[in-house]
Amino acid sequence: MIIAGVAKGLTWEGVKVGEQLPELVLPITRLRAASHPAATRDYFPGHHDVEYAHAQGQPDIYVNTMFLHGVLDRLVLDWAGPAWFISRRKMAMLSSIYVGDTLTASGVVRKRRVTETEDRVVTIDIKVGTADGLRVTGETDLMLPWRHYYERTPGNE
Amino acid sequence: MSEPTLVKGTYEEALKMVGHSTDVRFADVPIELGLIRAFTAMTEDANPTYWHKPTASELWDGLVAPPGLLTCLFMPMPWRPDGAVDRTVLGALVPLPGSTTINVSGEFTFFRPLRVGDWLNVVETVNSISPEKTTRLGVGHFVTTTAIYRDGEGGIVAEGISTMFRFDPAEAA
Repeated sequence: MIIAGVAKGLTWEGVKVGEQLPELVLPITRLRAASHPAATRDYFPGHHDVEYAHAQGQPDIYVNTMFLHGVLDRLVLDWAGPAWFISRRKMAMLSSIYVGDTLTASGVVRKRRVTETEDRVVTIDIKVGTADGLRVTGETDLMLPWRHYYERTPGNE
Repeated sequence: MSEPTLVKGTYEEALKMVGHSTDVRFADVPIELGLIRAFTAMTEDANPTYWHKPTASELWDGLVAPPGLLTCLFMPMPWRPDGAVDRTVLGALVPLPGSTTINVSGEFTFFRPLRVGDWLNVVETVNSISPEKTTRLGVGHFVTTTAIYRDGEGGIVAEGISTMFRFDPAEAA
């Protein structure tokens, strides 16, 4: 559903260190497993060919890096709102997430700061797990405002 | 799709590629609505700046793409009339013994939103290659590469640093 005239979401004043973000739960259905290589344009066989995955030592096909990027980015912007800009995203994959798993992504506000260039930045610590335990860790910076940032983009000065 | 081609070689040969940069490589296609729809449907991402032009125009002066679409733009298509481009990422072109790869970690910095119509290009550089390591998956080397993503005017849109593991599996599952 599209919400016209969207609320801008989180304000800078509303950011609280230690706040937990609402969890994001996403089952890795066969449809999602089958469609994600096309949606990410990633035809590496570990993501669609179970025999290849077995030869890699994996029990089944597993979701790719870009899918997980999408999960992390959705988690933080679902919480903060679409007026925020993801300025940095760090992610480490500790173990793979397989078809049939259900992932749960969670986040907590670690810090808020105003940079030397007066950008307002919130850092979120992220964890993604399945029933088998922690699978992915991440760290994302969300920023307000964006226009100032765009104007000092390298090459755009 | 068959197994992707990996350049085979020794660790000593691989080390000679540290500091090597690729030529400028353009994405197959510009950022367009179909790519955004497929990506956001995959993650069930209802962010209106990806879906709803009036909202996107109000907040970002036009429709934007999820940041995660960035690296997807540079993946090779499995077929094309002039022949499939048989490569994945720079780490696959580093000569190493490992017979397969898996991504391990990455950090991306974004300088502006990805916009519908952006036709981006990338230059990748081999940063470092670890000595032989043994992990749960097998024995191999960690390859770290950096990437700089620019728009058609040369402005830097994003930068990334990624680490992959080039390895021989310990035992087939």
